[in-house]
Amino acid sequence: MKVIICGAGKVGHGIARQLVAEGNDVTVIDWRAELIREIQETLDLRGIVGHGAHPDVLDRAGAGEAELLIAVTYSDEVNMVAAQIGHSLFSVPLKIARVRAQSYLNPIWRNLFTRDHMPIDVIISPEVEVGRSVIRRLEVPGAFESIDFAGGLVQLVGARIGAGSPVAGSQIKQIRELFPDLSTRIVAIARGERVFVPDPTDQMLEGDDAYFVGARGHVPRMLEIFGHEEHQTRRVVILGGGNIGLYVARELEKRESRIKVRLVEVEKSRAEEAAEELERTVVLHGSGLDQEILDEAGVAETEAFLAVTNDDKVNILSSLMAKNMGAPRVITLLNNQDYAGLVATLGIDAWLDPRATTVSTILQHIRRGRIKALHSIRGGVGEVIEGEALQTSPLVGRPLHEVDLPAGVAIGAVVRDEHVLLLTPETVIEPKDHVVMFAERAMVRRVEQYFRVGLEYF
Amino acid sequence: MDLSDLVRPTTVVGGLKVSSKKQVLQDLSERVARETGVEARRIFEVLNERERLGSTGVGHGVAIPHGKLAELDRLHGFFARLDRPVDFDAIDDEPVDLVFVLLVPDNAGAEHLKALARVSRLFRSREMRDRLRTAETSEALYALLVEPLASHAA
Repeated sequence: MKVIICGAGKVGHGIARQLVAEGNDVTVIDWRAELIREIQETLDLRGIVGHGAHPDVLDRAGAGEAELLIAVTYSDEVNMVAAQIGHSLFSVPLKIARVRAQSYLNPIWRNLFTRDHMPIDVIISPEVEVGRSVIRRLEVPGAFESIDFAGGLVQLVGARIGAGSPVAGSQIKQIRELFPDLSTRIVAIARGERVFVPDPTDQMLEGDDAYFVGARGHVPRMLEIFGHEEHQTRRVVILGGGNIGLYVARELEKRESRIKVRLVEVEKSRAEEAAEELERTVVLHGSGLDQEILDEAGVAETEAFLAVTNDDKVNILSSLMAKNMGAPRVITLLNNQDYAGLVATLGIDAWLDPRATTVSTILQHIRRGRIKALHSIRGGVGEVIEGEALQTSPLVGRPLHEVDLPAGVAIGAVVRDEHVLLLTPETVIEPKDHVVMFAERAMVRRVEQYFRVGLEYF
Repeated sequence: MDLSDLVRPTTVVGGLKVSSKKQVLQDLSERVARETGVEARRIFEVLNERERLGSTGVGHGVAIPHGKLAELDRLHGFFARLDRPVDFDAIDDEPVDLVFVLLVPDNAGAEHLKALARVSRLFRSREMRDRLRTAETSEALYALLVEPLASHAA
């Protein structure tokens, strides 16, 4: 598919990388020549130096042929106009734009982004999405990743098999035999560099990262089985008062659970703004690399330390300091995924990739078929996809043990009428069921086929 | 259901010059608009939306984009042979050069499924596909499409 991306910053770059890897024909526009040069050197795409919303620039980029326009420059207004021009002048069918200002997003103006007005099909706000994933991680202690599916009835959880895990060394099928009433299924295991869909006879090893899909209420039990009995979060220290830090502090203030939040910000004016805006949060002005400041913030007594500044090195170092001072959990924002491997070996519990959630949102909209939700894991080596099964789907109408799933594909959960089914080999998927599946990258197209409508669909 | 109920000499075209799936749908939407009076952008959006749920590229270089339009009073068929095949995200990953657009009114009942079955049966014949690919003029294409069924039953 022909895709135009306006904006070659961090988000644009991450999206371009993924779309190029999938074989799309990508053109990137940015007015900063050095960014265009850089992206052309690293990725197989076409770059154009120019203003991303100007019709002549979009024309040169091939907007007339484009099926997807993604506007992710730093300016909301440029992104909105780019989408409008793409629609009005070039009939680009799918427009995705990054819009951050809360005013545009206020539900009372929701009529704005419709076909008749400003035709943006999907709005992305990377900072808000990262903020949400921070909150989800705080809510599921023990997981390094947790994503909602089926409107929150089902969760995808990634958790490490800890040293004390009762199941380290067991086969997958033994877990099912031991806990037959547990509505969770292990869909993928990451072991070192390798990510695979396990067979029932595969063993789980200490140090594995296991991904399981299950009914929300069963997730804590599963985490216990994996050797995680982390405490609920009561105190949190946030390092960084930028968009993400502020979002998380604001959201935590809204919670009934009364989590105590302290926020550390190095820039004086920003610290003052944060103090002004936040009500219960204690804001400290100082560096996250300063032991005294971390002490003052109470890092030793906190359940979780979040490093979400825009500087990866500060995030990593301060996380290590916090860990050293006794913070049991640290969650670290990493813009550069080259550090991800390093961070895992340093003992950092969870890290966030601000592009992963954005890329997942975009992939959800370019996949064909009745796809309801999608999350891409570990930089795109696999995807968890929620789709609606149609009458014509090969998944429908026969017991699961007769469904011929190819290697590299697993069924995680089936939701029928707002209920998560307890899956057995005899379970039969019915039309309209929502099925949450995992697919290794190469098998994503096969999973799309399960949710495609048949030719006779009008 | 006969093909002559669906296509007219004016709705069959050979040698359409387009270079992408988007352009195929756009160009045909404009032709449909001229024939039916429905706004081209509406038609384009309906066809696109349907493609997003699953490509209508049925294999062997054939695609049958289709959809419902409340504004229509009868079934409309449009056929185009492309100058050069384009990627259509088809079931067999082969590029497409024979495109039949089928548009039906909201209240078509079972008529639309019969029409679709009729069209896909026509293209299932390899002989028919070959003849459509080698026909020289739009008139010849039209004649092939509306020829009585018996003469090219495969």
